[in-house]
Formats: sequence, structure tokens, C-alpha cells
Amino acid sequence: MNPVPIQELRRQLRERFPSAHEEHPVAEGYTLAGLPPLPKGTISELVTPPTVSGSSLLISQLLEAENEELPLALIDPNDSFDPASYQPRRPLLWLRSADATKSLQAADLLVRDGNIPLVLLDYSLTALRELKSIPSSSWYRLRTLAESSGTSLLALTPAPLIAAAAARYQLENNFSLQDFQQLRPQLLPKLQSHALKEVATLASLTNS
Amino acid sequence: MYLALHLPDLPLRAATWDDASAWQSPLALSHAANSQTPQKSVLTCLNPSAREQGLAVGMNTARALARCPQLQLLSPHPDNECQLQQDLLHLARTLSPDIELTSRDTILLTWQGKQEPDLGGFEQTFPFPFPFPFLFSDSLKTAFSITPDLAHLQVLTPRTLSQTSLSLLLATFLPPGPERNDLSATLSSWGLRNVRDFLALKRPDLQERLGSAAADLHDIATGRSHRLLTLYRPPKDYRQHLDLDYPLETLASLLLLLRNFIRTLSARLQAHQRVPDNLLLTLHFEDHSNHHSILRIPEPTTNQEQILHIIETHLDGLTAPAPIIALTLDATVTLPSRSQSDLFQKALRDPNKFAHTLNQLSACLGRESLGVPQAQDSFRADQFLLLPPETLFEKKKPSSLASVQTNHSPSSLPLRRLRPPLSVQVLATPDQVPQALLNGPYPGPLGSIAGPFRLQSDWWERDHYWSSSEWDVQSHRGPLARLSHQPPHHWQIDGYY
Repeated sequence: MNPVPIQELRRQLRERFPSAHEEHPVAEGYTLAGLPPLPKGTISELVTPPTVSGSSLLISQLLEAENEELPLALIDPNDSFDPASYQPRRPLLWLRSADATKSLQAADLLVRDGNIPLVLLDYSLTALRELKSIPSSSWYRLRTLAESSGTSLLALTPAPLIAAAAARYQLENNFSLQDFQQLRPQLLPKLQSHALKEVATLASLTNS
Repeated sequence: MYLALHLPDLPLRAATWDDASAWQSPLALSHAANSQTPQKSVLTCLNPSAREQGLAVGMNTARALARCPQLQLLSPHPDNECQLQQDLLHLARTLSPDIELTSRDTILLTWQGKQEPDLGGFEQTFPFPFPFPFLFSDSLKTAFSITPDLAHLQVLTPRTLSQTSLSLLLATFLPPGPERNDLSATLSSWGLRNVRDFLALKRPDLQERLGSAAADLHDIATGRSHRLLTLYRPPKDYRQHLDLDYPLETLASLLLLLRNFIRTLSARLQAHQRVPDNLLLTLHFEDHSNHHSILRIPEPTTNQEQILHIIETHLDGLTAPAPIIALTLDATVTLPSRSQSDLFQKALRDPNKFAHTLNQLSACLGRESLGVPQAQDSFRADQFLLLPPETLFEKKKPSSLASVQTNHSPSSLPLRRLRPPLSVQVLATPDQVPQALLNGPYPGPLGSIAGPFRLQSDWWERDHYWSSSEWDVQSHRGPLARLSHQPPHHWQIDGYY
């Protein structure tokens, strides 16, 4: 008996159960230089290896955005946010937590609340060993909460670890000291990333 | 329509507050119950059992005891009387906002319904422990009529209106004095006994022969007189205090008491068309220490559940040093917000819920760990203020925006600061130019360096003088870093870019 190719099996399943294979487009949300639009109401993961500079430029984009009135929440387990490095134009709620677990609890409360539309969870300087001790079920629960409340959670991690993330990108730019001669808006186009896991967008579905 | 609530024999019920079973035996209230000279005192209030024995208000105490030896004489209990009256007012306020405290034991209120309310099962509809059990032990009387005075008269009489005695009509609506006595004597001499007899007379003739007082009584009895209620307004004092007989040790029992406090507070505020913006909660502990807290209500409301939620969240993060022996709740009030939300202004979906979340975050992380950062105008490294999270939604004035900017522009790449800074060993030239990191996470020769950027702060104060030289360096196989040097030999990494 000839083996049935896997593609054929998938095609048959798609034809038989079309609703189960329907891709749910996620509304496009926050647009940041160097990244595709981050979806709203879900978890996005931005991998920022410790050797890469420039992750704080993303935070500055969010903080210094024009015409933003609603506050931004930054959960900072490493206490690394430097207020003097930013000129915020929108209100910022800064949460300096002691460890990764408390940070996750804080994220849970903020995402559940749903009043703040975007929550940043900065694990970029947290030890990977500590982060791996967080059970993946916690992230899935957080994703469910985000979907129900409409809050977006952007997690900055040193390595890919959030299986529940709807989208995952890795920052790969490498700034040098010469870049300090330029103004911040001129550096933004130099931010580079590549997708490790991409979210289905309305535009991509329309094109396909 | 108007509804009258009447609690007969209120002073006597207040005196038997703790012993309801005593109500079955003859009881009387007398100021001489505890004195040595009962002969000089008179009875001021009787229960139905005592009246059945032929006793009456105003009777000499000694004479009453001779007629009914089993009569129990009780002393008035003013505190319980006030409490009972307050309970009656509470009940009335749950029925209507417009109430009149007609007398100590009678309340008139406007009633929108077309029939008399059934108060029999009223206590079951309360979402909290019913606070008026005494009122519903078949004692509270109600009457329903088209004018307040008729409702008042009907609630006092055990019979129908037409059979009500004329003396009750006179006693209820005419003040004591010669005019009432004369009118009573005249009508009695005419053979009039009840209201029906009185109404048989023609009003113009009454006016002509007995004066305006008799005509007014005629109008009251026929329902022609329709006066306005003298509205009762509770005192504008929102402070409530309770000394406990037994110390509280659990949060649940404390919340139960606070729920009653909040219900009273909410009723008082609604009566004054006000809302609370701050709650002042004080807990008194057995070890004589106190806990004072000011709880802000972001979107002032009289919703009892929301207020209780705020208090509950605050108490969740509180550790009591000893059992609670007393508690006080007060509130500062404001006018309710009547502004319509701006169509183009983004706002929080639920400010009260967000305040609740902030309280939970404070309990989880610590109050000092969350807030709104504000850079300070200083060259000294890592100087900032952490404003309370409540300031998140304060609208900044245009002038204050400029004041928060530091006097130096931030670098192109924001710093991810290490707190505390990481001390490192640095190989440097005699001019203190760094060449290589000897330890730390990225040891090795520095790829490129920029600096020094010399910073000084508070140079005009010898004790606070601070100086540093900063270098931006490309670490070996690592990120860009900020290295600072404090003379003579201390090097540290302030953070990474």
C-alpha cells in the first residue's frame, strides 16, 4: 500500500473540517520601527540577547510616541529602567518588582484589569535559569486573560521561551559608538529584527 | 400617596431591647423605677398587657401597682430609643427619599406605589443582615392615604377613620393648651364622639361658631388639607465609630461591620446628593496602637459594593499587630460628576477597577515599588522621583511639562541601568583611560571607547559634592556599556545600552 503524503492528509482534513483550520486574523495593533505591527489583545515576545544593544529604543518609541494619552505599564524585574534616558510624552506606570515570579503576578493583575492597553514585561536582563522555572501554563493563562481583556503584553526575553506568544521576533541590530553621534529618531530605522514566529494579520490573509 | 410608619410604645420597646420575652407581661415606663419615692411618679408608657389591666398613661405609680401587682416598672433607655429611631429612619429611607420625622415614633413618607407596601417579607429582600429585627416582630404599623395627615391619623388609630375617636384627632393635630381643651369640651358637650360625627357638621358653620382651628381639623379629616412634608435631612456628619465588646481577630468579621458602616454612609451621602472621594479608616488595636489610612476613590461613587471592594483590598495587605477593639470610618465628600465623557478623549474604562488593581499591585510588590518616574534636574547619576501611582492621571499644566525635563538631553540610546552598579577591575592608562575589563560579565579588551564625559554635581556644597568620569565603551563580545570612574581607583559599569 502506497503511503499517503502528509500534505494530502492535511488537504483532506482542511476540506472536511474547514472551520477547524480557519485562521483567526488578529487585529493589527502597535507599530514600532524595526518590528512588524504587534497584535492587540495577545502576548508578543521580543527576544533581545544580552549582547545586543538597542532594546531600550523600543521602550523609548512607546514612551515618546505622540498623541498617546493612555498610560503604559512597564514591569521591570531587574530595576533597569533609567528615567533620565527618556523624555516621556505619555504616562508611565513603572513597577519595580523583586523577581520574575512577582513580575508575572503583576502582569497577571494588569492584563486582567484591562484598563492599560499595553503592558511591557522586561525580562531582557533576567537570568534564563530563573525564567525557565516559570511554568508554560502561566503564560497560556496570561494569553487567555489578554484575549478577554484586550490588553497587549510585550515581553522582552533573553532567549525564546514563551510558547504561548502569538508572535515572536528577535532583535539583531548591533549599534556602535559612532551611532551615538546621531539623534534618537535617526537610529530608529536601524533597528532590525527577524520573525521567529509570525502572527496572521488581516493584510496577509487578504493577500493570500 | 403617603405612607405612615409608626412604632407604638417606642420608649418601652427601647427599655426591653435585650429582653423581648418580657413584653408578654404588664410593663410600664416610669421615671421612678429606680428611685425610692415611687408614690410621686406617674406612668409614661404602657404595653398592651398593662392597658388590659386597666392601667393608663399618667396614672400614679403607687396606684398602678395596687391595681396590678405584677406590673413591672422600667426606666427609660434614651440610647436605645435613639437607636430604634435611627433604625426606623433607615427603613423609611429604603422606601423613599422624601421622609418626614413627624414624631419620635412616627414617620411619614411619599409613596409612588398604588398600594400599601407589604413589609411582612421585607427583611428577606435585604442583601445584608437585616438590621431591624425588632421592627418586624408584628410591632410596626403602617397606613396609606392620599394626604400626609390622613395617613398619620390612620396609623395611630386601631379602628377605621370614621370610627376614630375625636380626642385622637384633636390630640394629634392641635397643640396642647386652652384652645384644644375648650374645643374638646365643646364638641364633647354636643355629643360628638368620633370623626364621623364631626364630619357630619358643615365646615362653614364650624368656622363661624368654633373658629379656624375647628375648620382646619375638618379639612384634615375630609382630606381637603394637603400640606407638604417637612423633609428630614440626616446630619452632615459622616463619621462612624464603634467600640467593640469583643476584639475582632478575623477579616471576615471586620468586613461585616464595615459593610454596615458603608451602608449608613452611603445612605447619608445620597440624602445630601454627595459622593465620597476619600475614606478615612482608623482601626484601634488592643495594644493601644492605631492604623490610619486614607483610601482614595478614583471615581467617587456611593455604590456600596465598590466602596467595600476598595476597603477589602486595602485590608488584604494589612497585618494587624493585635486584635481590633474599635473602628472608625469617616469620609470626605464631593459633588457627583455630571460631565459627559468627551467623545474624543481617551479615558480609562473603569477607574475604580484600576484603583483596585493598583492596590493589589501595592500589596504584591510593595507600595514603594510602583509609581510614576520623574527624572530630576541633576547631573548626579540615577536621580529620579517616584511619584505615587495616583498621579498617573493628573493632567499636567503646560508650564510643568518643561519643569520635568532635565537640563541635559538624553543620549541617543537609552541606558539599561544596573542597580547597584557593577564594580569592575579595569586596566587603564596612567591618564585613567580604560583599556580592558579584567572581570565582570564581558571581560577582555575594549573594542572602542568614547569619553571621558566629566560630570559634577552639588559642587557648591562640600558634603554633597559629587564627580564622576563616564566612558561609553564597546565591551568585548558584549553590548555597549557605560563605564564610570570615581577617583582614584573605583571603576563601575553603570549599565548597558
